Amino acid sequence: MTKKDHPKPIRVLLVEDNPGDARLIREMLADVGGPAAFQLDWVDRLSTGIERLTKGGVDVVLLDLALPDSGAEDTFTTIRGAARMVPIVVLTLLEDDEKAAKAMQGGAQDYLVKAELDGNFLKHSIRYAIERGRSKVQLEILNAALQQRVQDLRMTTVSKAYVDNIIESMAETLVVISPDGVIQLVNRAAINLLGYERSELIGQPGGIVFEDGDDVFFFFKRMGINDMIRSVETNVVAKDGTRVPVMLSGSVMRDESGAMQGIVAVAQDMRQQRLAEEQLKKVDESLEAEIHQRRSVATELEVTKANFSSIVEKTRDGILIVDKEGIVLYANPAAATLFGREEEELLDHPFGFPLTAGETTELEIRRSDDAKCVAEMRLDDTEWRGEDAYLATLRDVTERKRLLAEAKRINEELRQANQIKDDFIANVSHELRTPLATISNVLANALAGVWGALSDEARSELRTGHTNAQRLASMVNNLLDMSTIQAGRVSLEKSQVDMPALIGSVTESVKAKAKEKGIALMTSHDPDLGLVFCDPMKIVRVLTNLVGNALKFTGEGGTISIAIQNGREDARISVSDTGRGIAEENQMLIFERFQQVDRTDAGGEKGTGLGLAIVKELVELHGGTISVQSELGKGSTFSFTLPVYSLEAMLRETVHTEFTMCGQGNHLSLIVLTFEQAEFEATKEGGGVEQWKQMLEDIETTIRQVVRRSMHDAVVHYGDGRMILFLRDTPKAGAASVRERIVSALAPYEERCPFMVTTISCSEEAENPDALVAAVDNLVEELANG
Amino acid sequence: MDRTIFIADDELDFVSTLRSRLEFEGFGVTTAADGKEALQRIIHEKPDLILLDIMMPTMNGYQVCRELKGNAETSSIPILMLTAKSQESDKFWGREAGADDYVTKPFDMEELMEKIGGLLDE
Repeated sequence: MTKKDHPKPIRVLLVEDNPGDARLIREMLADVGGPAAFQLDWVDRLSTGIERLTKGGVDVVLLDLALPDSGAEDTFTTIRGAARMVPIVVLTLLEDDEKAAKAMQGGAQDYLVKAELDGNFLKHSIRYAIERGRSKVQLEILNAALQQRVQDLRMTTVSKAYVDNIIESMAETLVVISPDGVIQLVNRAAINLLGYERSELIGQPGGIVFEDGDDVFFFFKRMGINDMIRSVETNVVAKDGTRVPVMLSGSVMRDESGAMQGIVAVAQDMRQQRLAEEQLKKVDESLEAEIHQRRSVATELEVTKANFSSIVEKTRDGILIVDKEGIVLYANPAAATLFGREEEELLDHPFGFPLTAGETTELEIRRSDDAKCVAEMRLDDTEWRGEDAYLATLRDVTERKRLLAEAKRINEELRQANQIKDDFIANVSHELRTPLATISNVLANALAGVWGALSDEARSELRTGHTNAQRLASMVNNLLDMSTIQAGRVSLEKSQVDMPALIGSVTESVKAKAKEKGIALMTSHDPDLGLVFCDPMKIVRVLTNLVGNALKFTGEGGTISIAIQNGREDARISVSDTGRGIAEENQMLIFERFQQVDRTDAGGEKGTGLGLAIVKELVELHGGTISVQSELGKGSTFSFTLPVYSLEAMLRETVHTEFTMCGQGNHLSLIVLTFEQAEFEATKEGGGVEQWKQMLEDIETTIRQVVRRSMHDAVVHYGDGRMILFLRDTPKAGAASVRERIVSALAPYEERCPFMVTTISCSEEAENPDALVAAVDNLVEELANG
Repeated sequence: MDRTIFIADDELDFVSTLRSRLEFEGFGVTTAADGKEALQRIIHEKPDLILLDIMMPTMNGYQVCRELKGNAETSSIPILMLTAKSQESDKFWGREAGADDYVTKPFDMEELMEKIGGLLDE
């Protein structure tokens, strides 16, 4: 340092939170040293001070112990830690002696009491602190050097023990043999390996340990010019005689003059390694086996792949891989055939058809030979050589399409032919009617004596003519009916039918004929039989036919009985005769069209063979079934069923039918009479079934008269205390006026059985039949609850 | 005075067989083979009962029936429709037009006489 020549300013870092004190110190230093003597750097926070210190360039720190970001206790130690070599002068308050003392003990160079501060005193203290700091550093360097020397010395003195320790700790067996072949040193690993005590080996000839025996200098022979052998596989002999395989390395140990001092032999126990090798071998073997297996799997895969390729090559479906740009990447032979091109012609060319994965489309392909074909293409997403692509599967459907079109055409022709036939039958039958009626009428007139009295012979001949004209008429009717049924043009007009009364009308019409043939007619029915929901005209047709057949095949003195049984789900009506019966093999045939099983004994009467077929159709239209039980010589029973309807089902069906009849957009109004339930039941119980039935019929008749006058037709259904009247094409207002008239017309009944009358109209309150039914149901429920 | 029955039908042979029988039964019979003519003459003659065919020239049976039933002067005359069809729709339209009953050709002459008797008695 040459302070005099170039007085360098002393760089002072003042850490002081009180700006007044800081200014005071700055002024003091300026006073005593001039502007260049001190370079003061002032910070008011410990953290800022530390930052400044770490940057360096500080000769001394003036430290106020009490700072805003640090308490007096920690301030010193913290700043000391930040710069060990920078001397620190602590500034304290008068009463902080103790803290100042602690700082001094911690390494502060000096401490100054703020209240006693004086410029010169401060200057000296700083200088002094710097000097002290400087000598302290030198002292520390000296001390460090001394420490190093002591350490080095210590290392030198402990070296033999250190080396011995190393030798003892070695995992390898170490044996040192003197030039005269005597064992000089063994380590712990050697003792452990050989099973001798240390004393049993030291001084003994090396030959007791090394397999190569008496010639203790076998090493030298092996060592050659380098005085060294490396990793020789040999054996050492343990105390118990076992030979331990070792990996032996050895070298000649010479002194500074180059004279041989001995041989150092290091042996590694190979047993563990052998074991490991064996295990490795086993692992190898199993690996080998696995590799073998994998190879065979791979081979199989190769084979499968080959098979697979062969399948793709040979399949009759065209298979194409098309990239997302629509370029063909692969085409199998079938695809080539389908397009009428070589595979090469397809590859790398645009496919030319729109592609949407997951869809099946039909492609019309024009082949290179100009022939057309139709293919059905299924497109799926796939991957081809790592890129997204489409898999297109094409099937030639040209032939299938052609056959389908052909089948369609034939079918259409057949349908047309059938239609022509049906129309023909219908038209012919229709056209036959008027001339037939004319002939029949002429004969009937003659028989009625319109043109005078007839001789018995003339009457008989004319009757034959008339009967045959009637038969012809019935055949024509049958043909027409059947063609109507077959065309699905028959709709049922169902109503609540009093079945015994209906059967009565049928028996009435055949009474004369039965009497003529001497056949008894009997009818019976369950007493609790209710009304049956059916088309009365159609059921009359069915019964007339069945009874007619029975009359035909029953001889004099026979009986025909008609019975009605009331079931839970259906009513069963059976017509039994004591006639000749039907052979079992024919029983299935009689309901077929144009089947006439047995015409003999039918009085020469022949029919169209349609009667029972029509009967069956009509019963089935009603949702019923028909069957026959018969025994030759004893008689036959034809039974058919008609389903029993709940009022709801009846209502539903009628609403649907009426709705259809009305046509869409037209009005259908319902007038619902709801009888007071308790009174209704009482009337029913008190007056008996016949009486309430009679009452309901009277009410119906009254309603019909009221409605008739208003020129509207009506369908009436009743049961369970409800009567529902359908008015076709009647808007709500019209229905309301009809209701008024009904209410006043039914006044006489009101006393016996009170009721309410409500109207519901479609399409004003209900959009469709179901809604209408629901509206009626709601209404009835409301009335029942209210 | 004899009761008169008006037959409207264009099948003349058929009409003739009906006429023979009805006259034999003691009815007065007048006929027309054309819808419009039938309508005018019925309004004019006011027969006791009308046998009305459906298929006729100029105006069909339904139309005639509707006109007659809608006319206060003729609405009470019973109308028996004669139909050569048996389709449900025919019955429906007949009933809709206000016919009192119908028979399907060919019918049993005795049955027709019964129906006529019944309608005249009402």
